[in-house]
Formats: sequence, structure tokens, C-alpha cells
Amino acid sequence: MSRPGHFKMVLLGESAVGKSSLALRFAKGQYQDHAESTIGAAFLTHTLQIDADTTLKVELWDTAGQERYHSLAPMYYRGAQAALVVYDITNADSLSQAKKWVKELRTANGIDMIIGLAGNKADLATTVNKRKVDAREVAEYADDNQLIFMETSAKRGDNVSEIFMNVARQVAMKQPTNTLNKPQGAFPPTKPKPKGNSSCCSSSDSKS
Amino acid sequence: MTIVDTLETSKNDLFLTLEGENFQQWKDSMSMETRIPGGLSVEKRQKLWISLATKYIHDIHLDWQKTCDFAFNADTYPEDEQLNIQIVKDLHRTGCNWSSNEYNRTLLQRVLLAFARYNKTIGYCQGLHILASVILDVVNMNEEYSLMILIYLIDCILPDFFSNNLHALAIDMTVFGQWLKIYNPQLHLHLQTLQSSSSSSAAASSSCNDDSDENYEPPLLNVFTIQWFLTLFATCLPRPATLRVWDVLMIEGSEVLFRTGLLLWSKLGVAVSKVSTADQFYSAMGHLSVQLLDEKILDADNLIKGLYNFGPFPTPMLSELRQKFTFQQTLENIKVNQSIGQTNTSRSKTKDIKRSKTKFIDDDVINFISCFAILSPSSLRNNRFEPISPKASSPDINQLRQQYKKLKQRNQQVQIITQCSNEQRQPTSESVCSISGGPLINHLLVKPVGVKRNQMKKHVSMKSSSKEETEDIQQEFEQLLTCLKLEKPSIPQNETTSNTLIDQLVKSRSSQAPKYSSFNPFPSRSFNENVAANGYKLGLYSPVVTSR
Repeated sequence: MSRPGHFKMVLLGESAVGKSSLALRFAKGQYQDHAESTIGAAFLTHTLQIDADTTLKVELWDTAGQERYHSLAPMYYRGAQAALVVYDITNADSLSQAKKWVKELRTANGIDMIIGLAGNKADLATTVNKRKVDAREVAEYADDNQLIFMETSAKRGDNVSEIFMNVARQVAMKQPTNTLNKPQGAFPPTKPKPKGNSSCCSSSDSKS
Repeated sequence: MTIVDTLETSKNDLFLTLEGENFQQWKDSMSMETRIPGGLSVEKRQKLWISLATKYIHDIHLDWQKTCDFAFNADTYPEDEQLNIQIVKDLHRTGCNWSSNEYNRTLLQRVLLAFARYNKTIGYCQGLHILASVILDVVNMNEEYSLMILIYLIDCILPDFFSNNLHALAIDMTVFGQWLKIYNPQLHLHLQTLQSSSSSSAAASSSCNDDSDENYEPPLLNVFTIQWFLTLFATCLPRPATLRVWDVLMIEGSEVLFRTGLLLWSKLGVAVSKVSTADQFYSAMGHLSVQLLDEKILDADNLIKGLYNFGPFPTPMLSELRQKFTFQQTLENIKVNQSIGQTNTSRSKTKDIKRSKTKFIDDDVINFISCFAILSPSSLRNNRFEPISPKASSPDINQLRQQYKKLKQRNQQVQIITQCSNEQRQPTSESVCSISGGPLINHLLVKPVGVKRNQMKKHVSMKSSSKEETEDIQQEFEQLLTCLKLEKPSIPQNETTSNTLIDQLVKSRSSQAPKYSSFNPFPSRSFNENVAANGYKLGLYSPVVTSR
């Protein structure tokens, strides 16, 4: 098995909501004030330690946001087990675009797909109150549609690894146990996330 | 501004050189100069770009002053609002240092808005901001020259990349895959192995999932090549190298993209051939991209040398491949839509029993994906579009009918014109010939896209043979239509019909199609010259040619 414990995830959302910034913060822990716009798509990976004996490599496809590039998106979300749909809390239009993406993903990839919804630029709500989208309403919408919802700030790093981690955990729960990166023969193939069993060899199985 | 002075002085000899053979000579000499180590000087580059653009504006009879007045008008038009929203988002994301300056950003915004007003079919597309910022940099932030060069670059050099949901880009990606297969078969094979092995390993690991989609891995080449082509290498090469590639691009046309892409991949191929999974490929590419930007992998002199060592421009094979895939794609679309219609009806009963997993993708998406599907034919077999709403199959046939109707109308026009010119054979026919023939020869040599746009014109000017040609096309269309209505032959049969159709069409077309054009079975797109001559106010790029 050449690629144990990995899943494909796609970032979608209107342009300039901060998809690439979230990706960069997640994969490298960095933030750039004036990053270039994404043309086409970009690819990043990051390995997450789900629990003591499970690592999951996230293969992250970062897409271009403009409507014109919409036709490229299926190439990337096709076959993805997870998605993170991003909107900008200071831009109400970006939320309706995000809802469209959720709908498209559900019809294309079905209910099995784990979808996260990130309301990005949360820092702008506290420093200067530019908030245009009410978090409670979105939370309700997210509940109705089985989305993992959080408000994030790629700039400050708030909730970024959290939302990716939550998505990854749900993916791990759905994936059959044999594909997760378990230390060989350590446990009988029980359910993923065997809590309390994690005393041994947590460092030896972390991947390069 | 100094640039205005330098250009004013050179303007007189510029217009001398614009005429006829002189222009070609001048261009040849410029193309020689681009190959000198170090490339063109800053002033020479300015002059080259502006001259080529001026020549183009001159050729399409565009009233430049009026265009500028309109495009840079400070008044806002109702459609500007949406454009501005989109443009403003990208102003500070050009990757250029100068875009941190407020004044410069305003200039960039004005140029982008002006272009969007000028070319309404494209409007604003992400990626244009990067091109415009490079151009502004070269012409010392002169907005009029920037607009002019941007128009030349987008309308004349690039084959419709930014319009129509990136349709032409999809075709060129497929064509590029074929190029790589021909010129660097090992790398092509290696990349394909990586793609299919990662797909199959994904399939094995997700065995519980009955969805064939799980096997999917996007073509490895595309992810990077799409960006390279859309930004004309501005985001992957160091700036001096980018500018030198652009010099050649402006002189020789869009084939430069293919040659540059091929050279880059061949250089990267050494490292890429060592990786054994798609995953490693992407992480290796991450490092390689950084090195590429630092000119560690490829230096500009060698790159330009490589471009020309490839052989004389243009390579005929490129236009052949473009024709082939443009047409094949049209057929694929029809087939995809048909199969959607079929599977939908046959499955509608069992659909509820199966998981209620309906897939809806709009027509454009299908169009686009199906071109990529040529690269990975398995995707069609996987039937990943099914089931889809029943409407999907009908618009395509209707569309085809409409296009057929249009073509018929145009045929009638052609016949009338042919008759007229035959009746008054001597003086009129000559003038018709010289008017449409003159610029056309230039198009063949200079302007790949222009030729495509004028394909119908060419039929007009070809007089005696045009009748036969148009009849041929008409026949081809009738065959297409009947093949559509006469559903349902079995799949292999369907394939042979379409294959012979492709062969027939490609054969009949390649004998007459001008070099470098791409075959457009529905020649209804931008008749730039007419539109420009009639003035932008009549609606630029109006696809309705019948009003002529």
C-alpha cells in the first residue's frame, strides 16, 4: 500500500475569502498579507496526528475562486472525501456562494462527503466591526446540512487547525480501519479512535 | 513621461515599418535580437511590444482614440459595478511589489476595467491582473499602452483562453498532453503511471466505497500547466525570464506557450522521473517550483535558445492537434449528453432504490470536464455524470440546430456574394479579393487567432470553391444531426460513426484550413475586424454576423 492513511480535501469558496491563506496557515503555519491570487489550483499536503496511533495525511486542493474558474472545480472535488467551504464574514454574498458550493458538493459527491464551513476573517469582527454575517444563523444552516462550522481567522490562526482537525477526525471515523496508518499488529482491527489504548509507540509511527 | 518621448520619436519610422514586407523584416530582426544572450534592452522591449500592438490595432481598423475615450471614461456604466467588485479583490494580489502603492493599484484597476469594457465577452478574469501588472511594469505605468498591449496579447496572441469558461484552455491542455507524449514519451508515460497507480491505490484502500469516483486523480500535468498558461509563466519563472518569453510570444504566437511548457517539463522531468507516487510528485513539484523561480533549473538564455532550436514557427502539428481535439470535444459532449439521457431514463426507476445520490453538473462543466476526459478516457466509462437531470440532453441538440440554422443562413449569404462576384467578374471580384485577401495573408503568418476568426471570410473570398465547401459543411452537419436523432446504435457502432466523422471532418478541413488555426465547426465567434470597423458602440464581439 503506497499511500496509507491519507485523504483528499478540496477548498472552495468565492474569490478573496481566504482559501489560500487558510491552506497556508494550516500547512505551514504562515500568513501573507498580500498573497497572489490562485490561478487554476494549488496543492498542499499536511500530516495530522488524529490521535496517538492514527496519522492522516491531508492532500489539500486549493482552488481559484472566480466564477470563471468554476468549470475547473469538479476536477478537484471529484473523488475528494472532504471539503472545506469558505466564506468571508464581512461579505454576505460570499455566504450565499458558499451555500451554492455546499449544494453542488452534496449533489455531486453525496451525503458521505465531510464538509466543513469556515467563516473566515473573524479577526475583522473584533478589531474593526465589519461583520456582515451572523454566526448563529450560519450555525443553524450548518446543523441542517451536517456541516462542521467554525469561524476562523487565517491571519491570527484562530480555529484553523481546529476545523481541519475536526474534518479529518470525521473522515477517519468513516474510513475503514485498514486504511488508517496503524502500527502493524498493535491492535485488533476495532473501531478507529480507540481511546485509552494509546499508551505505546506513539512516536514511532509518526510519518515523515 | 519618458516613454512617450522615446516612442514619439520612433513613431514615424514605426509607421514606415508597419507596412507590408518591411514589417515582416523588422519582426524577423527583432526575433533574432531576442536570441542574443541577455535579450532585449528595456527600451527595445517597450518598442517591440508597443509596435506589435499598434500594428494590430491598425490592422483591425480600431479607432484608438475613441476606444480610449470609451474605455478609460471616468463615468461609470451600470455593468462596471460587478466588474469592479471582482477587480478590486485582485489588485493587491499581483505578486508585484509595486501593487502595494495606492496610485499604482488605481492604474491597474483602470487598465483592467478598460479592457473589460473593450472586450465584453471576456470582461475580467482572474489572471488578467497578473498579465496587466507585468505589462504596466514594462511600459512605465502608461495606461493607454498597457491597454493596447493587453488587447493585442489577449485578442490576437492567446487562443480565447479567458473566455467561454476557459474552453480553449481545456483543449490546449489536452493538446499539450499530446505534445509531451510525442516529444518526451518517457515523462508522459511516467506521469500517467503515477496518476493511474495512485488512482488504483486509492481504489484499493477505499474498497468499502462503491463509488467509482474514488479512483479519480486529476491529470498531474494540468494542475501546473494551467497556471503556467493562464499567467504566461509570470508566476513560475523569474521576471527577466518571463519577459524574454513574452518577447518571443508576442512575435511568434501562442505556440511559444507549448514550447516553453515542454522545455520546463523536460527540465523538471529529471527530478520528476525519480518519484514513485503522485503524492511525491506534488511535493517534489513544490520544491521545484521554488527553484524554477530562482532560475536554478533553467536560465533565460538557454530557455530562449531552446524555444528556437525547436524548429521554425509554427509547427504544423499544433494546429492539427488543436483542430482534432476541438472537434473531438464537440463530439464527446454530444456523446456524454446522450449517455446521460440514456442512463437517466433507464435508471430513473431504480434510482430511488439505490442511494439517492443524484449528480448535477451544469452543461459548461460537462463541456469542460469532457475535454479533460480525453486525457483519461476511463472517466467516461466510469459514467461519472450519471444520473443527471433529463434536461441536459436536449439543450445540446437545440444548440446544434440553432448553429446549423445560422450556418445555413450564412451559406445563403455566401452564395449570394459568390453569385454577385461571378456576375461582375472583372473589377468587383478583384477588389473583393484584394480587400479580404490582403490582411488574410498576414493573418496566416502572424496571427493564429485572427485566422480562426476570419475563417468564414476566407470562404467568401475563395469564390469558386466556396460553394462546394459550404455544401460539404452542410452535409457534415446533416450527418451530425441525423446521427444525433437516430439514437440508439450500440456503443461500438456509435464510436465508429463518430470516429469516421472525425476523420472525415478533420481530413476535409486540414486540407483547406489555414495553418495554425483551430477548427471551429461553428464559426460564430468574434468577428473582431468587422466589429472594430463598425465601432465599439455597436457591441463589441457581437456573435451575430448576419447583420453585416
